[in-house]
Amino acid sequence: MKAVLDTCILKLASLPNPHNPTALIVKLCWDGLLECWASPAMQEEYSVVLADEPELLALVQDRFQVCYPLVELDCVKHEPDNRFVECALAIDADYLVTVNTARGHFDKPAYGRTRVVTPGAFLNLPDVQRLLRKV
Amino acid sequence: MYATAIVGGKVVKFVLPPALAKAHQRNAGRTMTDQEAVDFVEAKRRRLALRRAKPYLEGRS
Repeated sequence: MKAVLDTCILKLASLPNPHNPTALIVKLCWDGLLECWASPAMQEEYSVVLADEPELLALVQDRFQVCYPLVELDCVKHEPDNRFVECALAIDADYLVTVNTARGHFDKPAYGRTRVVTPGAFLNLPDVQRLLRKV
Repeated sequence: MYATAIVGGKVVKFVLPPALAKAHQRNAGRTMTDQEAVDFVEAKRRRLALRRAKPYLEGRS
């Protein structure tokens, strides 16, 4: 299963929030059960936003697959969000996981074959529940 | 180090990967809502965009 994680997901995963679904998603990636992908533009954003979390950046470098989208899109009104859709479409991702589904951001239910889901909804998917039994 | 998540109405306890365990230790006591995380990311994006635009803006003044 291929997924693209919005930067907010990694930020939330780094914090000891009680009941942290984002940390469980990162764990699925760490365990090799979930294929997470990032483009160079996304990696750059991760490194700027998560500059205070070097271990998490190392995890991204170590476990995330790299893709090189060949097109620049502008299907999302908020320009920086397009980098994530470009990556998702380039790898034909199953899911784009985000908490930002507000208007002008990831406000469509899907981009191509890639479904936009929140962390909670993602963990409740039957395919993901099967993965969680292996954790 | 352990963390929990609610999945399908049940509390799931899991072992954190080493990278997240270190981050959670360092950020002990700090929490964020989803909206606060979105605002945090947007603020960083804005700062990056301004830094990139600085040579252009300076050249215009």
